[in-house]
Amino acid sequence: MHMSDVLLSPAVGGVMTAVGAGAIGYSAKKISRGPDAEANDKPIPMMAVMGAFVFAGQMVNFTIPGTGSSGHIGGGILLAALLGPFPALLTLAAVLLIQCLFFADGGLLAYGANVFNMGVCACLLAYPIVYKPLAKNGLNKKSITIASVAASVIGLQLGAFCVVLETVLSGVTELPFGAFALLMQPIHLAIGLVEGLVTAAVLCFVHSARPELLEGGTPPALGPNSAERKFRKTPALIAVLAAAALVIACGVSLLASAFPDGLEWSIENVTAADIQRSGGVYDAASGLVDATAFMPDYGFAGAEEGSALGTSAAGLIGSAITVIIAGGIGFIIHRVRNTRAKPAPGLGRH
Amino acid sequence: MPSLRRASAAINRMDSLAAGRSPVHSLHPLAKLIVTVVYIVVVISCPPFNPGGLAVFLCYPLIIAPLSGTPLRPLFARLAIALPFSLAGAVSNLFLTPGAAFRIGSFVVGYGLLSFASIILKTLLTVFAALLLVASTPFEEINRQLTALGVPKIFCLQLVMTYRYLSVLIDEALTMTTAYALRAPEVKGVRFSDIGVFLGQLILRSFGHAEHVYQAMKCRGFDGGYQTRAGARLRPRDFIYTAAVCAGVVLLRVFL
Repeated sequence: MHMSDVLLSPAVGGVMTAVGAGAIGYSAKKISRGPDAEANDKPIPMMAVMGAFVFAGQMVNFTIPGTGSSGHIGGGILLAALLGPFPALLTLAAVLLIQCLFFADGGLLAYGANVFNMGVCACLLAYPIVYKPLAKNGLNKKSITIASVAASVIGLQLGAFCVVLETVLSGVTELPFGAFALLMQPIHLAIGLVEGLVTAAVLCFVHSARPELLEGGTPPALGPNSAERKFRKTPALIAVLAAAALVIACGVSLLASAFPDGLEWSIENVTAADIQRSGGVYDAASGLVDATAFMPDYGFAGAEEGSALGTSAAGLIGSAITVIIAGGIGFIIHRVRNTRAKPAPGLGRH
Repeated sequence: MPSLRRASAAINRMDSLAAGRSPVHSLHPLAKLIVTVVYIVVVISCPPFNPGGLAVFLCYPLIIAPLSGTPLRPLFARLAIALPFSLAGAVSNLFLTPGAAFRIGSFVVGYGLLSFASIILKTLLTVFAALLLVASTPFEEINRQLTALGVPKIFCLQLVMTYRYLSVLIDEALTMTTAYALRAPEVKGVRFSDIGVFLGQLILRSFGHAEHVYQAMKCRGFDGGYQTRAGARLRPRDFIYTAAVCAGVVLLRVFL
């Protein structure tokens, strides 16, 4: 479910980055003022190691019975049940950033969207709204299984729906909303069921071996100001935040579609207003461009079909020339670096 | 996701590349971070039906990769991970975008094909840009810049620690999968009926590690923050690099 940059428009990507950053900031604030006030630093190594666990656990494939295919865990509900929702969100957000930077799994511009779809939907929505109430009457095999499956299914359905919304609002692909939703939701229903069953199996094992590790495994006493009590108010708050995020995302996207592309629109304004009026410099520059341009005016005059061909051909030829020059420079740099042959420390040949 | 062994090798490789020396490595991490984000946003904002024009942005990886001594092979290996999701969207455009753009001989090039090519090219450009950043900048330095930019300290701290423990936990998982494979040689992966106990064991081991790490850190005076040396200062050439590349890509975009 990792979204890549290219299917998001800058407007939707920007809004979702703000929403993701907000969720991370809010969770960080919750933790630093949270339950372990006196041992504030303890959750950090725990979260870090659990993040590494999720990362490694996602690479352990298991066979799905009856299908012959294999799957892996996502880990949102699992982390929330072990660490609590806010530490779980931060942990998952760190894993997503590392996956994005080092493994190109999800884009940098799409990072906020991925944090929302996979982190917020599972840890801050499905966990407190579905898992907690279902598991509140004590943890046993049955309650853990029901809560895990329900929370995983709902978390993934929400996440998949957000992917559909974000993709359709971005307008990069031609996928119609209905068809895309009809494709995504059932697939993620199946994935959610498997994810829920695996989460339940893992949690049941941990509960039987080390019950104190699970949130609610040994219920803490509820004081008037305890974090647990405060936490009860958060689902409503988060639901409001999520609704606000959706409204903003829809609003910005409608605005963005009214001006086909925010950046394009601003560029048009800039080029129309400033550059063309900037006299001497602009004239000199445009003179230079005209003199050196391989295909001035970026296209052949004539029919619509011809102009599309012209734009494409001009773009392609212009790019090819530039890329050949850049490639040549790159090749020379590569050769010079190799012939200088002073291998940098730690930069051995692999 | 790649296999455990490949992931471990990939992380080690990125680490050693980031620890190298080159003109790109010596630039300030903040400059590289800003350039990468601007470049990705500009590439993403490019019009959908002009893949030929978009190709001009290949200049950036073509120059930065050799300049930073980053080999192209690992970059393409990561591209294979990023492509499937983009491909799903791109293929739908191939069939659903109406209209013929132009003809080359008897071959009709539709807007769908142009859009398909644009999405694939944009995937390549954005993936390479992000990877070139991490291949030329140690992760701790990127993390330091995130802290400086106001990202919550607790998030940055656990981000850098997660990264450090990846290899430990991957090794742990690798040991367990090897042991499992030796006992169940006919099974592909782990049996569904065993996965709960398998991952549960991995969690218990992870908690054990976390406890040891925390105690060791406490013994060394950990109080919720890392003590690090002062970061490098921004020098004139960092400003020049940032301004030149950002202006370059924005101008290319304007005239595209």
